[in-house]
Amino acid sequence: MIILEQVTMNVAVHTRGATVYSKTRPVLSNVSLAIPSNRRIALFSAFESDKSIFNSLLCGLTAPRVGRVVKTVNVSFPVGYGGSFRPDLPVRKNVEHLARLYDLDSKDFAHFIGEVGRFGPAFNRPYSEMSAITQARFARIIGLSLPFDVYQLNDRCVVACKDKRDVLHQLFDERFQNAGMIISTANIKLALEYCNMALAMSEGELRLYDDVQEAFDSLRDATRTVRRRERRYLRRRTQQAPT
Amino acid sequence: MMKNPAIVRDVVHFGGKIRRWLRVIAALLRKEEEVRREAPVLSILELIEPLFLIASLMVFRFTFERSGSPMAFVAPLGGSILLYYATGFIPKYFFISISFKRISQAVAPNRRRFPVENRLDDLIVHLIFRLIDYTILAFLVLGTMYLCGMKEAFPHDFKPIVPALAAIAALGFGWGLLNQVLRRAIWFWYFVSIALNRAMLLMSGCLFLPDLLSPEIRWWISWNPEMHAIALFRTAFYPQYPRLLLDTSYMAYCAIFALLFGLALERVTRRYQV
Repeated sequence: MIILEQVTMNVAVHTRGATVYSKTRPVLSNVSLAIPSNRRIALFSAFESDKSIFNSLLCGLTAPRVGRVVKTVNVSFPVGYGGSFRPDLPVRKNVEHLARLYDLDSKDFAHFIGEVGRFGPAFNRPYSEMSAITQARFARIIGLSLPFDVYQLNDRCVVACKDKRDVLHQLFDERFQNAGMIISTANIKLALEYCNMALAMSEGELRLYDDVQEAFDSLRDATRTVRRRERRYLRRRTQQAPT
Repeated sequence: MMKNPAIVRDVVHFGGKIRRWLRVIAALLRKEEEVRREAPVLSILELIEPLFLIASLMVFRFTFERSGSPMAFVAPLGGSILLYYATGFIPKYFFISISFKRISQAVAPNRRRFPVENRLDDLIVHLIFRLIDYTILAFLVLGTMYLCGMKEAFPHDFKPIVPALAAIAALGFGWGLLNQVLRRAIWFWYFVSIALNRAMLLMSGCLFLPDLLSPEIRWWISWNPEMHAIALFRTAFYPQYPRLLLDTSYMAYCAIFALLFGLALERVTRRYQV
């Protein structure tokens, strides 16, 4: 169970490309909610940034401005998050460090990741020498290999796990059967396919729904307003750009 | 819409939390050690600055002596000015390295870390490695002097070294965190902190003996707790070091206050991502 106790979280407002720290917008305002840990929950919000802030709050990367998050289960960091991987260290050393942090046998875990990911000689070279695509795949494999009770994913990660030839599919499938999931997405088809509950974030409120479609519909107007505002802003920027 | 289930309290035993914290610290220490092994030159370069400063001061001194200038420096205490500088600049640079150099990286708001890692863990690891670095540097510098025939370079009493270094570490920790917070809040604090750092280099008694200054200057300098820590460090090497200004209780109070203030500041600013 993940319990939010009167949690308030604000985010700085971006105005005309600049971050204004004095102006803030609420992501969560005085939210108290208990989120079950054994379900697959879709997370909807009009703002992409709100979803990543919520993910950070749940796993403990960020502390709420007011209130607290109580967890009776282990919640993963967002799958695909690179964390504190050192670019100058070999990939194997980075994996061993992560295993030590999460109290796993470092040699065994590094061996497992090297075998499963089929990174070849790149596994013993510095992390910075990996291509961006391989780094993303590596981070996803790492995120799904660590044992957690609840995994946090986004829709891109879920789509990447659909490829049945890749080991990611097997890892995802195993976690899908045995663990809870929070999938942040804006794709209703994907949410209906994978999730049996939904969280909807809007204007500082967070609601838990049993029906995924109902949660998506509740946010339709807010999402449309945000998209319209973004389009207007982009159009204005294009008009103002020097020719 | 679904009803909220009943709230269940998180039960984690204190012993379990301590074990997890020790595990994280051990993992971070191991990682830092591996990073240093991969790039040893960078960690050596950081220690060159105090050596370079001592060497350049010695070059100045010899140049003045050879030219017969009345400005030629004489050791304020003991027979060797090199030992006097070394016993002043090593603790002083220990303070600077704790409070200014890496602390900004450790507490930077955009620093990426895994959820089990903590900002305070980074600071503790940083503190441990600086302590190891400067202990090795002190052994090398003072050991070389001793081997070259300077018998004073071997401390006659090891007892004052530990509280002096502990006080410097606590003062550096508190001062460094305060600077980071003020830098985020006040845009020009970066320049003020640099100026204050230079002023503190002069006011900490590395270059001269504070007890021999005029009473007015002595009164001003005595407010600097770092000066007391450096003086305490020097008493380990000079049995005849004057203790007129040295106030260990003031130094201890300042160090405890700086440590508690730094920890409180770290705790308070955690929610604000300073």
